[in-house]
Amino acid sequence: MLLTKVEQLGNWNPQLLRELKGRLKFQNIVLTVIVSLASQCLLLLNFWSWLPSHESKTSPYCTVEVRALDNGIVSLPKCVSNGLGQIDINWPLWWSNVFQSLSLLVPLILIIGGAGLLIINLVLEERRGTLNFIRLSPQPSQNILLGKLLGVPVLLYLGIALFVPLHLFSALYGLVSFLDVLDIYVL
Amino acid sequence: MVLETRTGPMVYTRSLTKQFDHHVAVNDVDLHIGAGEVFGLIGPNGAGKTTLIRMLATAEEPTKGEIFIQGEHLLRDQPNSGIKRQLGYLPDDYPLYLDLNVWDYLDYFARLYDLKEPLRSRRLREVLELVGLTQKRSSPITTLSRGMKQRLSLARTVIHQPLLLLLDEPVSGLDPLARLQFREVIRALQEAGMTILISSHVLSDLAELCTSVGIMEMGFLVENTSLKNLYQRLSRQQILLSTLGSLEALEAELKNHSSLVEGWEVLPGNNQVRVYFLGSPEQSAVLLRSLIEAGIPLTEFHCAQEDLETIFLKLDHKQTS
Repeated sequence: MLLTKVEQLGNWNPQLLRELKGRLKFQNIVLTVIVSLASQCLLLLNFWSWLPSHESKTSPYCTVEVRALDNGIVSLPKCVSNGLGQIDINWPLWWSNVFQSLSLLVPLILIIGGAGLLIINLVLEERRGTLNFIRLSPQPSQNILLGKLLGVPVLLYLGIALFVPLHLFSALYGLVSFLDVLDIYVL
Repeated sequence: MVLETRTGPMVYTRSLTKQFDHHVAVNDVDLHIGAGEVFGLIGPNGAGKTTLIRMLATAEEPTKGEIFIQGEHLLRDQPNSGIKRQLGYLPDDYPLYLDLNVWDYLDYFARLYDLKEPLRSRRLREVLELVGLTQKRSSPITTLSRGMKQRLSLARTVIHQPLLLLLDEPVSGLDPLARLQFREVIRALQEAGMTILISSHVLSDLAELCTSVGIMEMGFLVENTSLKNLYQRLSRQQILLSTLGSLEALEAELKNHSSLVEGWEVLPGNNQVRVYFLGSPEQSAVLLRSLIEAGIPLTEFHCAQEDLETIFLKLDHKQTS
């Protein structure tokens, strides 16, 4: 079944199959998964550091209280605690900010990274002389270009795809409307 | 595998010229290579051989002139897909994809040339057997030796059964065994009916393989003839003589045949003389008989021709473009 699909893919676009065969190797996939998950952890840790603690006076994710003192001046702003002594955190806002950051970062990485990888690949092929062989083949240049576009950044696509669950999760808990999420994916 | 070839020239160029800025790399070349020939292109570095081959391979656009491959006109700024299917080009640096294994590399090129199953797998097995890499089909390309990489590149070049093979310095940097294996592959391809153009500085290899040669100098094609014709015109016949007696006696006897003996040189070592002979094979037999009758104790009487390298050096085509 899988072999038939690979065969069909190769017949449709030999360049794409070549790029996939050259890149989708076990160690490359493992490394991509590790880098992608580590990046997501770093992003979440960064947002985590903005959460209020008992020592912190204020945070974008808590309700701040300012009290008027007896001598007519006001106190420094301070996060409000609930009845159990825990700081009241605005989680929907936190997740919504995670969602917004991902919505900005992921397309940026995709565009800059993808273009960079393509340019590096073409420069390397030109320098090695292998690009000439592709040019000398009877394949239309559009097919070659499409194969390169889809195949060269395939590990980047995989890494980005691993961001999708976190993106959707943050949209869900950030109370982002379905249409907004759809907009981003359509774009 | 035997290819069908039409009669008539496989390659024909008319006033082919390539200019890079003010530098004319190939100058007004009229090349003619018959179908089924093995054509050796020789000349000093910078004479324009690689540029000429690149133009024939459609890797370079000519500045002026026309190229016909099997009678079909190579059109400028056109895909020329039909002609490209008939061409196999191996550049001198034979670049490879080091992230693939042998089978995947050949499979990729077979697909680029639209070879469909089951023909594709059959061709892959055929070319791997042809170049002696069947055992290495699953090996990563990075693990192959230089000679194996060269043969893999040749396999890639012939995977789509081209009618015209263009090989630019295919044996440069190979050891004698790898060169021998490469020559055997070229012979097999010639027997299969491919027309082959080889540029090389290893003239002994070309002399073994070629049926015709072209000599380039300063961008011009100064010779374009059959190897037989070149030998007839420019190769002097030599006879190598060794004697157990004195060289003076031998030289005295050679002087008696001054009409057939153009001259001779004494070789260092075992009383050997190289005689430049003008006569026919029958007349060389007469010379042998007379030397024996004169009591010269000959241990060697070997007729040979000047090799291609000597002819090339004698022509003094040493100018680059």
